Amino acid sequence: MRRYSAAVLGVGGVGKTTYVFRLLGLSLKPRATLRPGIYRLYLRDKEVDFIDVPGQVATEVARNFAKAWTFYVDLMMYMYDLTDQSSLYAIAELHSALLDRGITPYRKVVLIGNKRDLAEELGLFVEGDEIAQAVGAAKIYYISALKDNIEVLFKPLEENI
Amino acid sequence: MIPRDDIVAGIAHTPLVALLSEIEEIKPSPRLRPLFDFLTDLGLLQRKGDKYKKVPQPPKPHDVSPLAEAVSELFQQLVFPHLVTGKRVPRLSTELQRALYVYTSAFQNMRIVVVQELLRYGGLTLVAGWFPCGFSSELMSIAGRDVVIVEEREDLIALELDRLSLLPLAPTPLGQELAAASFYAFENLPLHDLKAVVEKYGKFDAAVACQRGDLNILKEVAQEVYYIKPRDSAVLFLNEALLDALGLARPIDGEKTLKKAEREEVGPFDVYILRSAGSA
Repeated sequence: MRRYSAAVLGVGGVGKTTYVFRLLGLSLKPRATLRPGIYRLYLRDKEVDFIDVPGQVATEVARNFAKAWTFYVDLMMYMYDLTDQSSLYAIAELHSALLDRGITPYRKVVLIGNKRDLAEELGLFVEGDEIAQAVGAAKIYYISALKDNIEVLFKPLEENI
Repeated sequence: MIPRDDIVAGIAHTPLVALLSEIEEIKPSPRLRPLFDFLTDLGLLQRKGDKYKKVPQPPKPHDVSPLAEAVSELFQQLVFPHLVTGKRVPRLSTELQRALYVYTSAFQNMRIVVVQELLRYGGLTLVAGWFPCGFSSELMSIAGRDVVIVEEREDLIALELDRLSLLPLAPTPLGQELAAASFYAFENLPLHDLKAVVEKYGKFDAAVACQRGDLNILKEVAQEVYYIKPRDSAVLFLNEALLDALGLARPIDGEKTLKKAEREEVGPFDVYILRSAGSA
């Protein structure tokens, strides 16, 4: 069985832990993530360590984490809230903090716009193309971590790992 | 909350169960009855008086999950030899180490729910026995805890140590909940003697034990004890057999002590919470 690692990074409230919990089969409203954590999931013959990063309460912590990043992941998933433009722009800032260390700490990167259901309801849909290009994301996924079925949620992992 | 189907599939796909499915009826010696009762519990045999019969429709072979493969390996290499001959495994092969590591993933969702629903934020937390439930990083990420993991066999936690090395490590307990790094430490010690760990870290705010440890000792070293026990008799049996085969101490969880504890149900698990005076 091959081992992979993936990380989900974004600022507070964009739904990172909700997304991870759904992948694990849990429909649980998460508490704020306080410190970095790792969840393990199996995709057929692949074992994936999924790193969840704090950001919920304080953007500062996510920024500090990006600066303290010490490892290499197979897939970086930048996540933002489709109804909140500032959460998209914060991706660029987190990305710069990561690259400030002078190395690229991931093999592949994708951008995920979350809360598609809410964006459709509000008619407010922040497109991520520009930032995706800026961070070198191979693809953008627009999802609803709360409402999409599990096959849809697994796509960013399955298509890139 | 526990992938029981994968556990059943793993055991169903072992040579022993394949052999039993070819035998009409068998009368085992009393020593082997627990093994046959376990297979009956999983629906792989049926009991008739003091005999066991094959089931009319045994599970059909199909693609098995990584967890089922791990359970299969553990049953064949550890559980079955131990139950039949009392054999213990002093050294773990890489395959067995990996299978034990994968097995702990069966408890991941329970771990998340227990930590999220029952544990308060912050504090120094002792994990008394990493195996079988694998409590670890969720204590840090969900409950903002500093964590010390005690395990009786070093080879058992090598893979978890490797996995946690992905996370930024704080050099000392942080004492605050929100942080960009975590404090975690591993200690290789017997669970019946935690004096050294208390001397090193001081009294713990909480101890988490899943079918491991001595509750009376844990009460002495931590303000709160969260003791988790599966209600499913087959899972309970499998865990106990694995602990025995690995030479790990069985839990000491006397009925009297458990009666005094608060009890919460988390899916198919009971969580017993013991609090020292003044810690509620």
